[in-house]
Amino acid sequence: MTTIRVEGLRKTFKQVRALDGLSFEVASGTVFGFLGPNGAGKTTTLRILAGLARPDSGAASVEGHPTGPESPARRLIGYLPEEPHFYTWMTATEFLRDYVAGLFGLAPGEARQRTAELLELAGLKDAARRRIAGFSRGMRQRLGLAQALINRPRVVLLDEPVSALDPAGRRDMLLLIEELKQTTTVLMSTHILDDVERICDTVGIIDHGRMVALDGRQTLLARYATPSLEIQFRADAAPVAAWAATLRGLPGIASATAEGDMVRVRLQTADAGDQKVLGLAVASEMPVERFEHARPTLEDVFLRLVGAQRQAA
Amino acid sequence: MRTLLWKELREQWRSYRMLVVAAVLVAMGILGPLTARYMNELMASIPGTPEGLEAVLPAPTVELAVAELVDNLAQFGLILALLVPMAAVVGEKSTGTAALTLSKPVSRGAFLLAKLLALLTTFAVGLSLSVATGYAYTGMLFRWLPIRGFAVLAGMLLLYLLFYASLTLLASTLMRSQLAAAGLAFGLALSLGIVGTIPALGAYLPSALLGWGRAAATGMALEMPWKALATTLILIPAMLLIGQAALRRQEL
Repeated sequence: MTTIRVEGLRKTFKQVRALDGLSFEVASGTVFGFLGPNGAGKTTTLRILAGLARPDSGAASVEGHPTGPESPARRLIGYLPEEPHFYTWMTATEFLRDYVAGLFGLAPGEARQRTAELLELAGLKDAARRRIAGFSRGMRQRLGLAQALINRPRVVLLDEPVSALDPAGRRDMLLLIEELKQTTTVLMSTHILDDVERICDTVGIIDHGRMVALDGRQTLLARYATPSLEIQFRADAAPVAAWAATLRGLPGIASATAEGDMVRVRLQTADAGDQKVLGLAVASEMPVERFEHARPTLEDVFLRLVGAQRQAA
Repeated sequence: MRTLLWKELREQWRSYRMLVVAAVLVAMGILGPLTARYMNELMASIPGTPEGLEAVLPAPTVELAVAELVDNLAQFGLILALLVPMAAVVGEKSTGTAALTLSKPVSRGAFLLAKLLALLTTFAVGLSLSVATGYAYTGMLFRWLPIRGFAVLAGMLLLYLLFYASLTLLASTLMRSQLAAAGLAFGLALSLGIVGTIPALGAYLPSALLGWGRAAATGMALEMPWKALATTLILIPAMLLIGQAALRRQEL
């Protein structure tokens, strides 16, 4: 079942086309990773879904409700902007219990209970009575997530939710997002590819306001990830780099990059010559310590697709 | 709406705006009757004051005390009505808190109405205290006037200041910076002041309420300024509606 539907969104800011006919759907109970370089149109899309911006044309809906400034869809949504801003004179408890819960019309008892749960979940229990003015950027991002969840939303829109967090905070946030999909549909924009690989079921890659790839994570990897080889030598960096340079331009080899004593070779196709590369490695007369097929990553997919778009542009 | 109003009132309190407005207006409430009562004596006591100046200065009467009170509260109240709301909307738009609030199920009209009601409360508290103080000082320094007239005066002053606070709130909704909002509100207030000097038009403007309030406070019978009252009572909600329509069209 589709929870979020985006159809042909177009949006222009003066001379800049932020969205150029963007369309996609997000299935219920999934985590959708919205990937793209800076300025690709991710935040604009999320703002349209949250009812804070209007498209020039096209439509977006959440559970069948069209989004917009006075849309009832906002009751179903929890929204975390990239840099959440607060009334800094409030304490965290006041903000969640008295303000955000009140805006959603939660009864006082439920507001108290939900606030306590979310402060615990966000790791802000000890800071509950502190004014938000004294919060660090990471604490504000965690408070931002708490406010986005107070109404037990059916849809959570997260704009770069881990960008301000330390490694432990990032891990906790990702675990939490993963848990959310049992009850909620999550649309998460990010350019941290590792996070998408860890928790997203579906990945949409957007560039210049257009969807350039949209599929399940594994399907995308299988379809677009370039086969790669990693060869590690027991040798100095200089001869290793020199050997990598000799590979460039050979038939079947897309690229060869040296990092210290290791060379990463991207092949043009899966059967494009790993035997040949192995032969060349042995012929280099440098001891080969490791030779293996590298696991394709979303980074490969992303760079390939976005790079292709950039070249086409 | 209740939650939005709670937030606005608490913000008025925590940011000391309510306190500052009350303090300034109470000071003006004290200064009005005091100036009327002691100005002549003060001038006479200053060495080198020209002979006969006392004869030129108006005699200290209860009417003068009320006139000074009204002038002080109207002038300083107007400045506060232009300054206090100037960041109310544009400030929230630029810091991003408006986006956080309006991504929740809240109407943009309610967002503005809560701000206007909070301003109404702030000025109502300030004016109640200042007019009460002015009443007490006038009574102690001159003679005790009927309290009902001062209540009417407080009501007229409140409507007058609420009109200008609504104007500034509208400017804050339309503009993209606090400075531009203050500039627009000041420009409109100045234009209204100039228009008010034309007798035929002045009767329709909120400033006409002040004359009636002053007369009521001193126990004089003046015809009710229906035209000014109607203009004020129509334009305050009209400005709110224009602001709502503008905010609905804006992206946050």
